[in-house]
Amino acid sequence: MPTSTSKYQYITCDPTKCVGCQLCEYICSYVKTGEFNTYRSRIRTVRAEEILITAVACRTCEDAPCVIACPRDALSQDPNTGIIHVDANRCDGCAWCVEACDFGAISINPETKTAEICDMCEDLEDGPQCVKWCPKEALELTTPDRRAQRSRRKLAVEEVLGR
Amino acid sequence: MPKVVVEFYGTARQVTGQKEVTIELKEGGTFRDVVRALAARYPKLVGDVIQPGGEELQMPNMFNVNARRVVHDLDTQPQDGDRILLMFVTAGG
Amino acid sequence: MYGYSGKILHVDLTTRKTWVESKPEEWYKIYIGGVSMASRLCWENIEVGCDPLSPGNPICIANGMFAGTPVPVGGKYGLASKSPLTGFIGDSLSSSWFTIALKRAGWDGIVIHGASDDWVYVFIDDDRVEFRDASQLLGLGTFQTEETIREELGDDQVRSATIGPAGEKLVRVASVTNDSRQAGRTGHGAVWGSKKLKALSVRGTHGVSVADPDALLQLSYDITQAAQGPHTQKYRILGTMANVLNLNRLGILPTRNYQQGVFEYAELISGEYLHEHYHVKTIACAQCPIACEQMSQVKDGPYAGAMTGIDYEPLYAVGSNCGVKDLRAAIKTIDICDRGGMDAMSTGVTISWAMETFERGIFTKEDFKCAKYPEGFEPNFGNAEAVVTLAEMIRDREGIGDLLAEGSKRASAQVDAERGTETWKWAMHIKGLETPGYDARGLKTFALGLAVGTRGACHNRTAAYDPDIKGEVDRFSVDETRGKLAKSTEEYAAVYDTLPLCKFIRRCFTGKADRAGAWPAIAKLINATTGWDFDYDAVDLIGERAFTIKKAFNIREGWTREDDHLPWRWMHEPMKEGPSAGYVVSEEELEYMKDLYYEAKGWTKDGLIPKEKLIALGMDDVAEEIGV
Repeated sequence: MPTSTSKYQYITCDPTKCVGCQLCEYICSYVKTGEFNTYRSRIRTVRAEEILITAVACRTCEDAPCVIACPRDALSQDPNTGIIHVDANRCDGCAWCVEACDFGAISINPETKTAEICDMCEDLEDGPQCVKWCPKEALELTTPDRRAQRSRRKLAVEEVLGR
Repeated sequence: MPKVVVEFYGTARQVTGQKEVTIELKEGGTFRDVVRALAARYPKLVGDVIQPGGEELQMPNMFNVNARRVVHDLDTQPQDGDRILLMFVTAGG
Repeated sequence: MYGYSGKILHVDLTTRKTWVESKPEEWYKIYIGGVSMASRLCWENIEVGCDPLSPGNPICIANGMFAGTPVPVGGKYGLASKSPLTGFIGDSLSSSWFTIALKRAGWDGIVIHGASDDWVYVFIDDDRVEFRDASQLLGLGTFQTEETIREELGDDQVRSATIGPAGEKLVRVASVTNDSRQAGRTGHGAVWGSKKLKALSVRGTHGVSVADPDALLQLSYDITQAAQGPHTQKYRILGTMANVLNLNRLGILPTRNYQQGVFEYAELISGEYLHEHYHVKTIACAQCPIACEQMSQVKDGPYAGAMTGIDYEPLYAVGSNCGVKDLRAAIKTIDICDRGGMDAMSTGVTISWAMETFERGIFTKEDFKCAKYPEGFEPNFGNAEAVVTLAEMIRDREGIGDLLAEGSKRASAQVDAERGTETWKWAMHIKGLETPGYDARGLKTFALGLAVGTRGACHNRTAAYDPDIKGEVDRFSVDETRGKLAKSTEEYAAVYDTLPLCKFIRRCFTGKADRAGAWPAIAKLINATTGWDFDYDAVDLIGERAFTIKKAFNIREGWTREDDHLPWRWMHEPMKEGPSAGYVVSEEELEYMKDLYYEAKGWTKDGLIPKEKLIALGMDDVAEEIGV
């Protein structure tokens, strides 16, 4: 599985906690469109093989491939947050960015024909609404470094303490 | 002194890791004293099974005496030798 | 209108025509959704008196107002047809994406008429309907059918309700499956099979709007948070499987075809044991923040690899009720039912009837010949491989499976007619639907609730075990309160089944599950969704109306007071052991309680509905047809 190379924060899902309820998609679509429509969510749940469940949103890659792929320079990355901004005037919905994204985290709005990408609800005081709503605390705002720290710690506990 | 056995089912069993426990009550001891004794002995029961404060059962847990009757008033007294089932019942599925 | 589109889609499989029916807002205010609206659509569209497996029996699907919104556990739909098991209303519920897709496609409900000459599946792509060849799907299991259709249509977001091989072969205990959830009971799979309808697939891309989204979000958020606390603890950790040890201890765990109420190996088939040894993942239905489905997998032995969600009801049926103490075999049997598209409850209880019939010497080894065991086998209680094999034989209608596929009522009648026996005395069903996982000899209020149930022996349509188990009444005796309790608990359940909301959320509104605790909160949800002005009383009426339309359906199909019965065993054989030892539900007790119940409902002594009663409920056209 491809991994993010980012120093930036992004929303990640712990598949051992995720139960596939899709509340993240409901709340995201409402915040972004004013309607409940999981098709318009910028975070997407995935179910496979009956028991594999997780959710995926933009990983804020450094040197983001979607930005590089865009032939119209409609996409730009905020140097402070890593968030990908879409210039609706330039974007024509060609979907090169969709193809470039290893995470499948970009979709094209069928009506406006523009790319839609998670912005971590940067304009809201209490942050990403999907993280706030997730009933199982499976979603969190994190960085690859923090994830790595936790993995090391978990491994150490398992190896040394055997639990 | 009256002795009762509390049988654990569902959450109570998971939390305590026990199937049952014998509790000795003072003369005149009540079902509420049983709740208090459980809370003292198994602090982890407080929350999902016993309400914070350790005086009341958390809904929908209940005491059933000898599989025959449900305890509605915790201030009543169990009989010596009673088996008190700490359980909840859920339908569906 | 908010919460509804106002449109019902009609699809005729005989003529391959479709049309749209508009319903006025007043109609929605009476029938709401779920089982009530589905039953009403069945009332409106059936050929009265038809054979349930004939083209005149419609398939009726009804969404709820909450589908596609963040209202927790609101992603459910009702499915109704005349049941091939009972000949009365067959109303089922199922959860998850299918109904949400249908809502987003712009439909409040679907009615499927007629029957196709060739196997088809119907693809509803927003407002476009396509009849597609299903020959390549024949023989596929339910989950595999869903996946295959997704691949064929090239979209992960297509959601399907399907039948498995059992439905194709008109097995009367066959179910309809979507998103690995089942509209399990009353034999819908056979109805679909009779129409050569393999699946109903939906893609819905529109958004769902509600009257007051900010209010609805706040309400939903609070309920979602409450659903993580002690109110749902029992569902989240062990799921409904926690019941095994509880009910066993109360002496009401159905064991060996209800010959006993205590199973000596209950620990081995308990939720606790399952959790420790076989649990692999807890999953949720779409739109549910509780997550109760305990996905369980067999890792060793002859059934290694079997995996499905395990709930209490299927488990008692194929476990203790067949004397099976090996959870691996039980998981395998339920897996066969889920993939084959069969109701594991009715399947298990029909198998247990066959096992007892064998143990009593009426069936012999010869009767159990099959491809796997050409010499036959001996299905004694506890023979786990026999249960697994019989489930497969029912699914395929192989050998004696062809008889058992008819359900316990018809199978016993056929055997008794051919052999002059009385096997019907241990056929555990009410109105033809097999009994659930509670022995009613130790639960007298529940016995009444089951007997008068409109779809037969169902624990979901009545919550009458509640006062018994919670000790609000003495569960071993009968008194004058039981009629009102049966009315009150069935209508309580019907409110949830009609909105529909999953009942597992019932304590999360205020901490109290009773009407006072739940109805005001539910009224707020309804009003924020639809812009209506519902109050406590209006919510309460939802349940009475739902039960009334189902009862009216049954009356029109020929129901009489004698149909509200209990299995012979519960009425004549005292429980042998355990805390419920010595008890039966006597004829006298049952008839007394039925009198009380009809009176509480405002019906006649014969159980018929007075015209004024129907008119007061806003069901004037029903009054014209069946009111007395």
